[in-house]
Amino acid sequence: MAPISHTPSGAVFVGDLDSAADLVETFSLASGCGGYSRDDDDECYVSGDELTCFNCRGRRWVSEGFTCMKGLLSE
Amino acid sequence: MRVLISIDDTDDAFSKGTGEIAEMIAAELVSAELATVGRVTRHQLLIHPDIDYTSHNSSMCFVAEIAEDSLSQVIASCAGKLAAESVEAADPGLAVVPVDRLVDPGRLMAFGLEAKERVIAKDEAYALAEALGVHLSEHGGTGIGVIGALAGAGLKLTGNDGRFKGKFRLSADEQGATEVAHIKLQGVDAVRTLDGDELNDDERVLVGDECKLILRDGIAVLMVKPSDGASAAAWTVVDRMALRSF
Repeated sequence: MAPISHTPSGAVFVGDLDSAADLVETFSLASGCGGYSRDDDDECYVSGDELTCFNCRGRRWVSEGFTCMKGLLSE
Repeated sequence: MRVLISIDDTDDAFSKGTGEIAEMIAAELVSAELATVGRVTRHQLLIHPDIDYTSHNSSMCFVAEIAEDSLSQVIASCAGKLAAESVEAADPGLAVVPVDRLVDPGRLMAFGLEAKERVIAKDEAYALAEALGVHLSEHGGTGIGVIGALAGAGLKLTGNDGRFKGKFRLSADEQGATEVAHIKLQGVDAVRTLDGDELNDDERVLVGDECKLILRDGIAVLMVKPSDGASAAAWTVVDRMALRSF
Protein backbone atom coordinates (compact mmCIF):
# COMPACT_ATOMS: atom_id res chain seq x y z
CA MET A 1 0.00 0.00 0.00
CA ALA A 2 1.54 3.29 -1.08
CA PRO A 3 2.16 5.74 1.79
CA ILE A 4 -0.21 8.46 0.61
CA SER A 5 -1.56 11.17 2.86
CA HIS A 6 -4.38 13.55 2.01
CA THR A 7 -3.27 17.08 2.90
CA PRO A 8 -4.23 20.65 1.95
CA SER A 9 -1.73 20.24 -0.91
CA GLY A 10 -3.76 17.28 -2.21
CA ALA A 11 -2.76 13.63 -2.21
CA VAL A 12 0.87 13.48 -1.12
CA PHE A 13 3.29 10.58 -1.33
CA VAL A 14 4.87 10.78 2.10
CA GLY A 15 7.22 7.84 1.65
CA ASP A 16 10.85 8.03 2.61
CA LEU A 17 13.65 7.70 0.07
CA ASP A 18 15.57 5.69 2.62
CA SER A 19 12.82 3.09 2.79
CA ALA A 20 13.26 0.24 0.32
CA ALA A 21 9.56 -0.57 0.58
CA ASP A 22 8.56 3.01 -0.25
CA LEU A 23 10.96 3.04 -3.16
CA VAL A 24 9.42 -0.16 -4.50
CA GLU A 25 6.00 1.49 -4.26
CA THR A 26 7.21 4.29 -6.51
CA PHE A 27 8.57 1.73 -9.00
CA SER A 28 5.14 0.18 -9.11
CA LEU A 29 3.29 3.49 -9.42
CA ALA A 30 5.62 4.83 -12.12
CA SER A 31 5.67 1.66 -14.21
CA GLY A 32 1.87 1.72 -14.31
CA CYS A 33 1.71 5.39 -15.23
CA GLY A 34 1.29 6.35 -18.88
CA GLY A 35 2.53 9.87 -18.15
CA TYR A 36 5.87 8.99 -16.61
CA SER A 37 8.72 11.16 -17.82
CA ARG A 38 12.17 11.27 -16.24
CA ASP A 39 13.08 14.69 -14.90
CA ASP A 40 16.25 16.60 -15.65
CA ASP A 41 19.06 14.46 -14.23
CA ASP A 42 19.99 17.05 -11.63
CA GLU A 43 16.58 16.73 -10.05
CA CYS A 44 16.64 12.93 -9.86
CA TYR A 45 17.41 11.27 -6.55
CA VAL A 46 17.49 7.65 -7.59
CA SER A 47 20.36 6.33 -9.72
CA GLY A 48 19.85 4.13 -12.75
CA ASP A 49 17.12 3.78 -15.31
CA GLU A 50 14.40 2.31 -13.10
CA LEU A 51 11.07 4.15 -13.32
CA THR A 52 10.31 5.82 -9.99
CA CYS A 53 8.06 8.74 -9.09
CA PHE A 54 11.03 10.20 -7.20
CA ASN A 55 12.60 10.93 -10.60
CA CYS A 56 9.48 11.90 -12.54
CA ARG A 57 8.94 15.37 -14.00
CA GLY A 58 5.33 15.10 -12.93
CA ARG A 59 6.05 15.04 -9.21
CA ARG A 60 6.06 18.24 -7.24
CA TRP A 61 7.87 18.40 -3.93
CA VAL A 62 5.90 19.75 -0.98
CA SER A 63 6.81 19.94 2.70
CA GLU A 64 5.49 16.45 3.46
CA GLY A 65 6.69 14.61 0.35
CA PHE A 66 5.53 15.00 -3.24
CA THR A 67 2.31 15.38 -5.13
CA CYS A 68 1.66 14.11 -8.66
CA MET A 69 0.85 16.79 -11.23
CA LYS A 70 -0.70 14.07 -13.37
CA GLY A 71 -3.15 13.19 -10.63
CA LEU A 72 -1.87 9.64 -10.24
CA LEU A 73 -1.89 9.77 -6.45
CA SER A 74 -5.46 11.03 -6.31
CA GLU A 75 -6.88 8.11 -8.25
CA MET B 1 36.53 40.84 -12.43
CA ARG B 2 34.61 37.96 -10.93
CA VAL B 3 30.82 37.83 -11.05
CA LEU B 4 28.23 35.32 -9.92
CA ILE B 5 25.40 34.76 -12.38
CA SER B 6 22.31 33.18 -10.93
CA ILE B 7 18.88 32.41 -12.37
CA ASP B 8 15.62 30.95 -11.15
CA ASP B 9 12.03 30.21 -12.21
CA THR B 10 12.67 29.68 -15.90
CA ASP B 11 10.70 26.54 -16.57
CA ASP B 12 7.48 24.65 -16.28
CA ALA B 13 7.12 20.97 -15.51
CA PHE B 14 7.86 19.82 -19.03
CA SER B 15 10.28 22.39 -20.48
CA LYS B 16 14.06 22.39 -20.40
CA GLY B 17 15.40 22.82 -16.88
CA THR B 18 16.87 25.91 -15.28
CA GLY B 19 20.27 24.22 -15.13
CA GLU B 20 20.31 23.71 -18.86
CA ILE B 21 19.42 27.35 -19.42
CA ALA B 22 22.22 28.40 -17.05
CA GLU B 23 24.64 26.38 -19.15
CA MET B 24 23.30 28.01 -22.33
CA ILE B 25 23.81 31.47 -20.83
CA ALA B 26 27.35 30.51 -19.84
CA ALA B 27 28.08 29.10 -23.30
CA GLU B 28 26.86 32.27 -24.97
CA LEU B 29 29.11 34.43 -22.77
CA VAL B 30 32.06 32.25 -23.71
CA SER B 31 31.30 32.21 -27.42
CA ALA B 32 30.97 36.01 -27.42
CA GLU B 33 34.35 36.15 -25.64
CA LEU B 34 32.73 38.06 -22.80
CA ALA B 35 33.73 35.62 -20.06
CA THR B 36 35.39 32.48 -18.90
CA VAL B 37 32.98 30.50 -16.77
CA GLY B 38 32.92 27.92 -14.01
CA ARG B 39 30.58 25.01 -13.58
CA VAL B 40 26.91 25.47 -12.74
CA THR B 41 25.74 24.60 -9.24
CA ARG B 42 22.22 23.86 -8.06
CA HIS B 43 20.94 25.38 -4.82
CA GLN B 44 17.86 24.08 -3.01
CA LEU B 45 15.52 26.69 -1.56
CA LEU B 46 12.59 26.39 0.81
CA ILE B 47 9.66 24.16 -0.09
CA HIS B 48 6.58 25.90 1.28
CA PRO B 49 2.93 26.24 0.21
CA ASP B 50 3.22 30.04 0.06
CA ILE B 51 6.06 29.86 -2.47
CA ASP B 52 5.23 29.64 -6.16
CA TYR B 53 7.64 27.13 -7.72
CA THR B 54 7.40 24.55 -10.48
CA SER B 55 8.37 21.29 -8.83
CA HIS B 56 11.46 21.61 -6.64
CA ASN B 57 12.32 25.29 -6.02
CA SER B 58 15.99 25.32 -6.81
CA SER B 59 18.14 27.97 -8.45
CA MET B 60 21.26 27.68 -10.61
CA CYS B 61 24.44 29.72 -10.40
CA PHE B 62 27.87 29.92 -11.99
CA VAL B 63 31.00 32.03 -11.64
CA ALA B 64 32.24 34.12 -14.56
CA GLU B 65 35.45 36.06 -15.00
CA ILE B 66 34.79 39.14 -17.11
CA ALA B 67 36.60 42.31 -18.18
CA GLU B 68 36.18 45.26 -15.80
CA ASP B 69 34.36 47.31 -18.43
CA SER B 70 32.04 44.61 -19.75
CA LEU B 71 29.56 44.22 -16.89
CA SER B 72 26.67 45.88 -18.71
CA GLN B 73 27.35 43.80 -21.83
CA VAL B 74 27.42 40.63 -19.75
CA ILE B 75 24.15 41.51 -18.05
CA ALA B 76 22.52 42.23 -21.40
CA SER B 77 23.71 38.91 -22.81
CA CYS B 78 22.45 36.96 -19.78
CA ALA B 79 19.12 38.75 -19.75
CA GLY B 80 18.58 38.22 -23.47
CA LYS B 81 19.31 34.51 -23.31
CA LEU B 82 17.26 34.04 -20.16
CA ALA B 83 14.23 35.74 -21.69
CA ALA B 84 14.62 33.79 -24.93
CA GLU B 85 14.92 30.38 -23.31
CA SER B 86 12.44 30.66 -20.44
CA VAL B 87 8.92 29.37 -21.05
CA GLU B 88 6.02 31.81 -21.22
CA ALA B 89 4.47 30.49 -18.03
CA ALA B 90 7.67 31.07 -16.05
CA ASP B 91 8.61 33.98 -13.79
CA PRO B 92 12.35 34.21 -14.45
CA GLY B 93 14.80 36.22 -12.40
CA LEU B 94 18.46 37.09 -12.96
CA ALA B 95 21.09 38.16 -10.45
CA VAL B 96 24.58 39.28 -11.46
CA VAL B 97 26.85 39.83 -8.49
CA PRO B 98 30.19 41.62 -8.85
CA VAL B 99 31.90 39.67 -6.10
CA ASP B 100 34.92 41.90 -5.57
CA ARG B 101 32.79 45.07 -5.38
CA LEU B 102 30.28 43.70 -2.88
CA VAL B 103 29.88 46.09 0.00
CA ASP B 104 28.79 43.46 2.48
CA PRO B 105 29.03 39.87 1.19
CA GLY B 106 27.84 38.55 4.54
CA ARG B 107 24.38 40.03 3.93
CA LEU B 108 24.07 38.27 0.59
CA MET B 109 25.13 34.96 2.11
CA ALA B 110 22.68 35.43 4.98
CA PHE B 111 19.91 36.13 2.47
CA GLY B 112 20.67 32.88 0.67
CA LEU B 113 20.57 30.90 3.89
CA GLU B 114 17.33 32.61 4.93
CA ALA B 115 15.73 31.61 1.63
CA LYS B 116 16.12 28.01 2.74
CA GLU B 117 14.28 28.71 5.97
CA ARG B 118 11.54 31.29 5.42
CA VAL B 119 9.27 32.79 2.79
CA ILE B 120 10.81 35.98 1.37
CA ALA B 121 9.01 38.75 -0.50
CA LYS B 122 10.19 40.14 -3.82
CA ASP B 123 10.69 43.65 -2.48
CA GLU B 124 13.11 42.30 0.15
CA ALA B 125 15.24 40.89 -2.64
CA TYR B 126 15.20 44.14 -4.61
CA ALA B 127 16.02 46.20 -1.51
CA LEU B 128 19.01 44.01 -0.70
CA ALA B 129 20.26 44.00 -4.28
CA GLU B 130 20.14 47.78 -4.38
CA ALA B 131 21.92 48.10 -1.05
CA LEU B 132 24.67 45.72 -2.13
CA GLY B 133 25.16 46.97 -5.69
CA VAL B 134 23.91 43.75 -7.27
CA HIS B 135 22.10 43.58 -10.59
CA LEU B 136 18.66 41.98 -10.11
CA SER B 137 16.07 41.83 -12.87
CA GLU B 138 12.91 40.00 -13.84
CA HIS B 139 12.17 38.72 -17.31
CA GLY B 140 8.56 37.67 -17.56
CA GLY B 141 5.52 36.57 -15.63
CA THR B 142 5.42 37.77 -12.04
CA GLY B 143 9.21 37.98 -11.93
CA ILE B 144 9.15 36.19 -8.62
CA GLY B 145 12.28 34.32 -9.69
CA VAL B 146 14.38 37.30 -8.58
CA ILE B 147 14.16 35.97 -5.02
CA GLY B 148 15.63 32.59 -5.89
CA ALA B 149 18.16 34.12 -8.25
CA LEU B 150 19.54 36.39 -5.53
CA ALA B 151 19.40 33.60 -2.95
CA GLY B 152 21.24 31.22 -5.28
CA ALA B 153 24.07 33.74 -5.64
CA GLY B 154 24.23 34.14 -1.86
CA LEU B 155 24.37 30.39 -1.33
CA LYS B 156 27.05 29.99 -3.98
CA LEU B 157 29.03 32.73 -2.28
CA THR B 158 29.03 30.75 0.98
CA GLY B 159 30.97 28.05 -0.86
CA ASN B 160 29.11 25.47 1.18
CA ASP B 161 25.81 24.81 -0.50
CA GLY B 162 24.52 22.84 -3.42
CA ARG B 163 25.53 20.28 -5.95
CA PHE B 164 27.30 20.66 -9.27
CA LYS B 165 25.08 20.23 -12.29
CA GLY B 166 25.68 17.04 -14.22
CA LYS B 167 27.08 13.69 -13.36
CA PHE B 168 30.67 12.69 -13.78
CA ARG B 169 32.08 9.44 -15.09
CA LEU B 170 35.50 8.87 -13.59
CA SER B 171 37.93 6.51 -15.25
CA ALA B 172 39.05 3.57 -13.14
CA ASP B 173 40.73 0.18 -13.37
CA GLU B 174 38.92 -3.01 -14.37
CA GLN B 175 37.64 -3.40 -10.81
CA GLY B 176 36.04 0.05 -10.90
CA ALA B 177 38.51 1.52 -8.43
CA THR B 178 41.06 4.29 -8.67
CA GLU B 179 43.34 6.41 -6.49
CA VAL B 180 42.31 9.78 -5.12
CA ALA B 181 45.24 11.38 -6.97
CA HIS B 182 43.78 10.08 -10.25
CA ILE B 183 40.29 11.32 -9.34
CA LYS B 184 41.70 14.77 -8.69
CA LEU B 185 42.98 14.90 -12.27
CA GLN B 186 39.39 14.59 -13.49
CA GLY B 187 37.75 17.80 -12.29
CA VAL B 188 37.38 16.87 -8.64
CA ASP B 189 39.14 19.09 -6.11
CA ALA B 190 38.89 16.87 -3.05
CA VAL B 191 37.54 13.51 -1.91
CA ARG B 192 35.94 13.51 1.52
CA THR B 193 33.96 11.26 3.81
CA LEU B 194 30.47 12.21 4.94
CA ASP B 195 32.11 13.25 8.23
CA GLY B 196 34.23 15.77 6.34
CA ASP B 197 37.57 13.98 6.56
CA GLU B 198 39.70 14.35 3.44
CA LEU B 199 41.19 11.27 1.82
CA ASN B 200 44.89 11.12 0.99
CA ASP B 201 46.04 10.94 -2.62
CA ASP B 202 47.12 7.30 -2.33
CA GLU B 203 43.79 6.02 -1.00
CA ARG B 204 41.57 4.05 -3.36
CA VAL B 205 37.91 4.61 -4.18
CA LEU B 206 35.29 2.54 -6.04
CA VAL B 207 33.85 5.12 -8.40
CA GLY B 208 30.97 3.24 -10.08
CA ASP B 209 29.15 4.46 -13.18
CA GLU B 210 28.38 8.01 -12.10
CA CYS B 211 29.43 10.55 -9.50
CA LYS B 212 27.80 13.74 -8.28
CA LEU B 213 29.93 16.53 -6.83
CA ILE B 214 28.97 18.95 -4.10
CA LEU B 215 30.20 22.45 -3.31
CA ARG B 216 32.13 22.54 -0.06
CA ASP B 217 34.66 25.17 1.04
CA GLY B 218 34.33 26.67 -2.43
CA ILE B 219 35.58 23.56 -4.23
CA ALA B 220 34.13 20.52 -6.00
CA VAL B 221 34.05 17.63 -3.55
CA LEU B 222 33.38 13.94 -4.17
CA MET B 223 31.77 12.30 -1.15
CA VAL B 224 32.66 8.74 -0.19
CA LYS B 225 31.77 6.17 2.45
CA PRO B 226 33.57 3.03 3.62
CA SER B 227 33.10 0.13 1.23
CA ASP B 228 32.54 -3.44 2.31
CA GLY B 229 35.64 -5.39 3.26
CA ALA B 230 35.66 -7.52 0.12
CA SER B 231 35.89 -4.60 -2.27
CA ALA B 232 38.86 -3.55 -4.35
CA ALA B 233 39.04 -0.27 -2.46
CA ALA B 234 38.47 0.91 1.10
CA TRP B 235 36.09 3.65 -0.03
CA THR B 236 33.12 3.90 -2.35
CA VAL B 237 31.35 6.91 -3.85
CA VAL B 238 28.09 7.72 -2.05
CA ASP B 239 24.88 7.27 -3.99
CA ARG B 240 23.09 10.42 -5.18
CA MET B 241 20.29 9.55 -2.76
CA ALA B 242 22.66 10.34 0.11
CA LEU B 243 23.39 13.75 -1.42
CA ARG B 244 19.83 14.98 -1.50
CA SER B 245 20.34 17.21 1.53
CA PHE B 246 23.19 19.09 -0.18
